[in-house]
Amino acid sequence: MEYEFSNTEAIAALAAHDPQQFRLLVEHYQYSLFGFLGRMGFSREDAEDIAQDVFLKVWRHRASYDPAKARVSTWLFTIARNTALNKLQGNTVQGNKVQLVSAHDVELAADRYREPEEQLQQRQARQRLTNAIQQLPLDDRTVIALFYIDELTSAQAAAILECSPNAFKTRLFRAREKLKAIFNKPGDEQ
Amino acid sequence: MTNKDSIDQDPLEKLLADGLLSPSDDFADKVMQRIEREAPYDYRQSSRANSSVSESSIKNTSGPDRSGSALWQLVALVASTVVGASQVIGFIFGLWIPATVG
Repeated sequence: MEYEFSNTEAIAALAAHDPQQFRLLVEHYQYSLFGFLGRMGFSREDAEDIAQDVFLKVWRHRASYDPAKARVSTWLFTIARNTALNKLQGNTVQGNKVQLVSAHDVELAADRYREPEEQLQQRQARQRLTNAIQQLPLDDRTVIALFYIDELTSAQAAAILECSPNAFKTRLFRAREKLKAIFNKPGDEQ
Repeated sequence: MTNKDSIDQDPLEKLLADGLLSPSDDFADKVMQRIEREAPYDYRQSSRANSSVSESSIKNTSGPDRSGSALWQLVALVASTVVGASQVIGFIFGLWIPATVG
């Protein structure tokens, strides 16, 4: 269940060194993290592995988190971004292809409450989007994937990418234009 | 203001904002199990440090019990050593007396 979880509570959860407190943090950020990984073009299976790796790293390195330097969400998604890129680049180096999102993977909890026809249309639209995302360069994917995270402002997303907010906006604009062009290309409809 | 507030809701934007994947219902359980498995020392230390008062009171009472049992083990060891030594001395004395009398 998702509920309001402030940065102060997230800091307290990390500082407490308490598994039960940490679980609350996992329960809160898991939705944003899966959303991010989906926009990076990962399959459900890969996203599950990466998300677990991210939370394991957060747990192991929680003592090194400095609230004065960044919000918990910025810190967590910096780890997520690095882990995701390592996975994508590692697989490229090794010659293995990362499993990409299939039509079966692309689903939302909200689907359960939609009418079948609407559900089908949503599924097809998401599949089209996934195909379009997978044609984007990694830098563009990362910019878009970070931008739509609720817990991050543009300034925080820019900090993760180590660029200025203005540079982030420029990169985002270009990435979205590329994505729109691919998404709206008639031949890509399935 | 979050990013979502600033985007217009065209179909593409809405799809991106909704997300393409969502976690399974037991995802948090899996994470905690993995942490317990792969960082067990850290996990147990943390669990112990944050255990409830009742748990700590159980630990407090278990402390003297443990040292008490160690004491009893030492007493038993000393007693059995004394008994064993007296048996050996008795046996040697038993051999020595007939030899000297004879």
